[in-house]
This record gives sequence, C-alpha cells and structure tokens, in this order.
Amino acid sequence: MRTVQRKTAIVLLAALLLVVTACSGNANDPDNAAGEDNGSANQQGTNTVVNDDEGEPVTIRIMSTLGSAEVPEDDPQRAFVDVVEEALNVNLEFIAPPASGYESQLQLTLISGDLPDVVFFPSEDNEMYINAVNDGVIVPINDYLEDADNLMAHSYEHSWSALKTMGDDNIYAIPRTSITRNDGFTVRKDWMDNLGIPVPENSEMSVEEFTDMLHRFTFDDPDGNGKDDTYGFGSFVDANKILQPVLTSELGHYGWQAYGGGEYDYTLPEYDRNSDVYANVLGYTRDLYASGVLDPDSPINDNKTASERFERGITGVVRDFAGYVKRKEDALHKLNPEAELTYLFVQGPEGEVKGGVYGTGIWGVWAITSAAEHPEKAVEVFDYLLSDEGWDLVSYGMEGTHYTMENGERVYSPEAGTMYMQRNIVRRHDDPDFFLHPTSYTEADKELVRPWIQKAVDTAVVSLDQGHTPAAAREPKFMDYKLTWDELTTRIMLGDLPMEQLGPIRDDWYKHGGEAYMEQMNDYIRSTQ
Amino acid sequence: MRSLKRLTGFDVINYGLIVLVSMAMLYPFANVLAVSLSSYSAYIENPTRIWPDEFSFAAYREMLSKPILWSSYLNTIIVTVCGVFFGILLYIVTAYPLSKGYLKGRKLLMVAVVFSMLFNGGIIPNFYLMRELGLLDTLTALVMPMLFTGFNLILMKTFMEHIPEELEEAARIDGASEPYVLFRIVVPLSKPIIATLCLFTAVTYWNNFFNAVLYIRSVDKWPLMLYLNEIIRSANLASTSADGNLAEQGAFDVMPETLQYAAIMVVMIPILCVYPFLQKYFVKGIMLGSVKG
Repeated sequence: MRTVQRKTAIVLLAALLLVVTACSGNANDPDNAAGEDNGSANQQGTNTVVNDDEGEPVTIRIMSTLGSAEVPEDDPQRAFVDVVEEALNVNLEFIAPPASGYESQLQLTLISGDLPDVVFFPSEDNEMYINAVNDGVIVPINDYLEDADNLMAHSYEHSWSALKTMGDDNIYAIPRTSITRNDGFTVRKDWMDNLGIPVPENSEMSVEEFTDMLHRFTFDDPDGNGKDDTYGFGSFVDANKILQPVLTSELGHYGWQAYGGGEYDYTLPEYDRNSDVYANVLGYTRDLYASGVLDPDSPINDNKTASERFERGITGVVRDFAGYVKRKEDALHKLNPEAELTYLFVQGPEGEVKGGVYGTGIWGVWAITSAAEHPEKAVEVFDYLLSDEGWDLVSYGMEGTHYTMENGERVYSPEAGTMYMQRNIVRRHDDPDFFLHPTSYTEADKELVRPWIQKAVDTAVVSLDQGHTPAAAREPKFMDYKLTWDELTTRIMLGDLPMEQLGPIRDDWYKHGGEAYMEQMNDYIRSTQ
Repeated sequence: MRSLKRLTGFDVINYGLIVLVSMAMLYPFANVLAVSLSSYSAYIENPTRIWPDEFSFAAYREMLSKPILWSSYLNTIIVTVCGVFFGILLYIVTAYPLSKGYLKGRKLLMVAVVFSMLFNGGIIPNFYLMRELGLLDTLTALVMPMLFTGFNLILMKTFMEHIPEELEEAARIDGASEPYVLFRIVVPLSKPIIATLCLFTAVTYWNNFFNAVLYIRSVDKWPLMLYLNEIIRSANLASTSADGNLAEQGAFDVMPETLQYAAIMVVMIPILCVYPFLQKYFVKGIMLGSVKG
C-alpha cells in the first residue's frame, strides 16, 4: 500500500513538473530577433528600428527563393545589392532558404511570428499567401503604391486586379511580372530544308500544313541518316503529370471566354457541353499519338526531357518560348553542327494567329508583412528596380563587375554567371527583350528572335478567369473528381478511351461540383468585366 | 558453391535472378559514373550509357572547384564529428546508471525513453524550440535534434547490463570512484557497442538533410546532402515552379547532368570507400544489444 502511494506521488509530481514546464513563459520575447541574430551569420545586426531622419540605412529583411546552389555570399551576383542599398539608403538582408525547402521554411516562418519585412510567395493563389492575407499577416500596400510610378507603369493592370485578394480594393502584394505570350513552336529548319518544306515568311502555318510537316518529319527521314528514328512532335507532362495537348489555341481554345452558344455566358471549352473545341484538342493529339507522329515517350517526359530529346534530334518540333531558340540551337550544335532552327506559329480556325493565355501575368508575388517597420521603403526598393536606372541594372548587370564595354558592346566576364538573383526579383511587362539573356545573345541574335517574341506577345489573348479559383474548386468532391478528369482525358488522348466518353466524363464533372464551379466563375468574370 | 556438374535447374534460375537483380541495382551507379566521366554532348547522344564516351574529368574539375562544395563538406564533417562525440558521451553517461538494477525509478525512466521513441513533438514545435533557443541557421541545429535517440540508448544499456558486476566491485574495493569505474573499466569493455553506435550515428548525420531544410538559411551552412539535393532537384524545381510558363523555366540555374552526376559521385565516394569495410559491423552491432542466452 505504501509502495502504491509512493508511486502515485511520484507520477503526480512528474505530471506537475511537466505542466509547470509547459506553461512557463519564455524569458526571450519571440519578437526579439536577438536570439536569432546570435545564431545567424547572415544577419548584419539586430532588427532595431533605425531613424531614417538621421540618414541611417533602413534594414529590410526579404525572404525569397533567390538563393541558388551556385551563389555564394560574396558572389558578384550580389553586387547589385550594394548599388540598390546606396541608391535608397537601405540595408537589404536576404533570407534565402534552400529552394527545395522554401515552402516548408515559409510555412514555419509564417506561423512562428518572427516575420521578415518582405516575403515571396510562389503565386497569388498560393494557399499560404491567401491564409496570410486572411490572418492579417500581410498588409495592403495601396498607400505606398501611390508613389510607385514605375511599378504601376510596368505591371499588367490585371495583375493588380488579381492581387485584390480579399475581393475589396486593397492590393496585398507586388507582382513579379512574367510577360503574357502566345508561345509557338521551335522547329528543325534543316529538316524542313531537307524535305523541301518552305519556311513561311510570316512564320505562320495552317493546321493542315503543320500536321503535314509533322508527318513528314516522322516518316520521311528528315535527318537523312537512313533510319526511322525521328518523331514529328515531342510533348511532355506538366507539373501535375498531365500530358500537354499538341495544339490548343490553334484549334479555337482561348481559355475562359464568352464563346457564345454555351449553357453559361463564360465557359472553358473543357466544360462546354455544346462545343466541339475540347474534343478537337484531345482528338488531334490522339490522332498524332496513334499514328506514331507524337514521341511515344511524351506521356512520361517532363519539359526538360522533351527538350533534351529535341536537342538529340529525336523530335523535330517542340512548343517553346521563342527566346530560347538560340540556346537550343547551341545545344544542338554539340551533336550536329549543321542543325538549324526556326520558330513558327500555327493559325487558328479563323486563319489568324492568336492564343489563350492563362494566369495574371504574375510569376510569384512579393508581400509586405505586418512586421515591416518601413513598408514604404520596401515598396520603394521594388519600384526602384523597375526605374530606368534600376532596370538597366537588373537586365544587364553592372559595368566593371559583370561586363566591360568594348566598341560599344557589352562583353561579359565568366564570373557574371546567369545573374540569377537580380533577374528574378521584378520584371517589366513591356520589355520582352529581358528574356534574351545578355550573356547569351548578341544584338544580331536578338534581331532574329525579336519578331517572334513580339508576335507571341501581340497575339496573346488573356483568359478571363485571371487565375481566379472559386470556392467550389476547394470542395473535396470537386478536387477528387479533378484527378479522375485528368486521368480519363489523358487516356482519351492516348487512345485508351473512345472520344465518346468525353460527354459522360463532363456530365460527371458537373455532378461533382462542376455546376457550382461554373456559376461562381461566371459571377467572378462578370464582376471583372 | 557446388561444382558445376552438381548445379540443379533451381540453382541456375536462382543465380540467374541474382545476377539480373544485381545488374539492375548496379545500373544506376554505372550510369551516373559513366555520364560524369563523359562530355555533355556524349550524354545528350545517349543519356542511358554505362560506359563513358569522350572521356573527360572536366565535370569533376568544375565540381571540385566550387567553394560551396568544400564548405558543405566541412559543415557535414563538423556536424558528424560533433554529433558522434557528444552523442556517444551522452549515451555512456545515461546508459550506465540505467543498466544498474538498483537505480530507483529505472523502470519509469525507461518508459519515458520508449515513449520518446514513439511520439515526437513534430516539425512545428521543434522549429519553435530551435527558434527560442536561438539556434536557427546554426550548425548546432543540425547536431542537437539527432544527438540522443531512445533506440541507441537501449542498445548501449542492454550491452552494459552484461558487463560483470564483479569487475566494477573489484575496482571499487581498490578505491576507484564512480567516474573512474565508468571511464576506465566499463567504457573500454563497451568498445564494440560504442563503435557500433559511432557508426550508426555517423551515417545518420552524414545522410541527413531534412533538418537543414528546416533550420538553415545561409548557403555557407549547407551540409553536403542539402547541397546535393539542391543541385539534383534544380531541374525538377524549374519545371514545377515555373507553373507551365515556358520562358520562366529557363530562369533557373540548372546544372548540366554531367555536373550533377559528378556531384553525386563526389559525395558518394567517401561513403563508398568506407562502407564495404564497415558493413559487417552494422549487422554485428544490431545483435550486440540483443539479449544473450
């Protein structure tokens, strides 16, 4: 009995100790970054408030994915930071977790309460970003944008609309702009020459001409090696492992539009029960796959692998950004010095080139957090980078550090590298030349590709959804059926299911939350028109 | 092995399957080695090769010239050495008293140890802990979480329980203090289990990168496996992060495959050289802590 009492007393004492430990406060203020400063060699001081009036630099902590495995702390790529700091009287501290763990660290940082001043989110519909806005962790920046002339001038209008996350007039982030384009196709010009296929002067082909070219690339030995070892087109799967159709806009698919004749005012061809557009899109890819024109590895290749197979001379056409034609040509020359590339567009049903572009022109957003003591300074940094002076720095780097001028041309040093850091903060929406990396393109090269890039920009038709995700899309049964949809439509493209199955698949989609989805999306689009 | 004329059909199938499985397991290694010793154009021509073409050490020269590789190596070595040293010390001073049957509360303490093996605070509480201790972005954050595990403690305790008490009593009779008994009698007799735990712990620290993903922000504190992970995943990240934007996929720093594979070999070679000699100790070590008849 005494033993039992003693044991009970010990257990209760241990439990009491645990409770006392758990409930005791921490002597360290969680908001005091001194503890973190002691442990971090990356920090250049504590996060104390600095009096800007006395001319002391304002410290701005920026958390982003700009760290690269290749960029040490003292790399010249960080040289531009000194220029920005001097120009704006700021002290920029970049918190750059490893890219593979960025989202984990971002999530932990957001819930820890120890917030940097600026945080990068991968997209404007990222779950963490939306939650952070809802929780008040991210602050609206409308007041600070009034003085940000460069940001307003060089970003898409619809990007700002997409950043009104709460549905009111408050803007919650700065967009990292990516130029909306209707990308065409990189094509083996030497194969065209070998087969006597003329290169159109306006870089445009009809669907029939394009299809014929693909067939000839597959069956007519375009490389002249006597072997049946080529395919016309190399497709790939996207990040969600969904096979990308060969033609979409070229068959009349322009994203969310008022196509007319549908059950709803605005629709996506996938879900339009009165339209053949999506069936045509699936059918075109299916026919190419069945006839052996589509690279049989397409359903398992990602974009990089598809690109490699193109560079190996296995495929003759890939959809790609026009700015990478030269890069691909240089890669091809390692195996085949005679290879030549050109860039083509395929006309749509109305005989003109135009393409539906999804998204909001945004590739990631910079959000100012509630911990920022000088949010206006943070906005000023991004605004400065889009000014003429800052943009020159972003686009070309620094004379003396990254390049020297010789006979009026920039000559880059090997140490300049890709200038990854400075070129991935902000971009101008009206400067597609940005994507022509200055270390890779001479002016002559730029003259060649510029018309293609401009055509891709001019023929872009923006999808009216603007990247919006209605609440219905987050319902479990909708999300579950999305997986089924992806699987079944891919099987249709691969010929595993007949095209007639598309109707029942659509009907099931409507039953699994699709109806609510369409209604909410229509309401949203109407509100933006 | 039986003489050839005594090989049965079953033996032939058996050996055949073993050879096939072995080749399947060796193929990735051969491919990585071959590509790392080939030129990039040779890789593009045939990415699946198992024999180098246009033999070249250029990828190794370039990889070995990267300062971040050496800083990562140094970080990993520091973390591994510190983790092993302090971990073993902790195991010794904890397992020894727990191996004594007369220790009051011993059973309760062992229950607590086993409990800690089954349940963990989780990622978020651990992150908070590291932050409150001021250990974020430090190498200590890579050492501490794996410093002490219940499993290893039980192995050492079980081994120490089998050390004859008489040896310790004899030492005490001669005037030895407890620390003397521990470090001059018990520890030398525990060399097999200490060596085993050194091995286990060293391999665990060497291979771990998840703690670095959570706690490290500075490139100069990356351990080797994190650096390797970043290199290898850069291509995948380019594809997923660009979210279908073909222009943005080119915005990423992606190393050519020859360089990636050279990085894999550079990271693997030390372990490859050491592991075959230590493999038998792994198996032996697991058994050391088991109950003896």
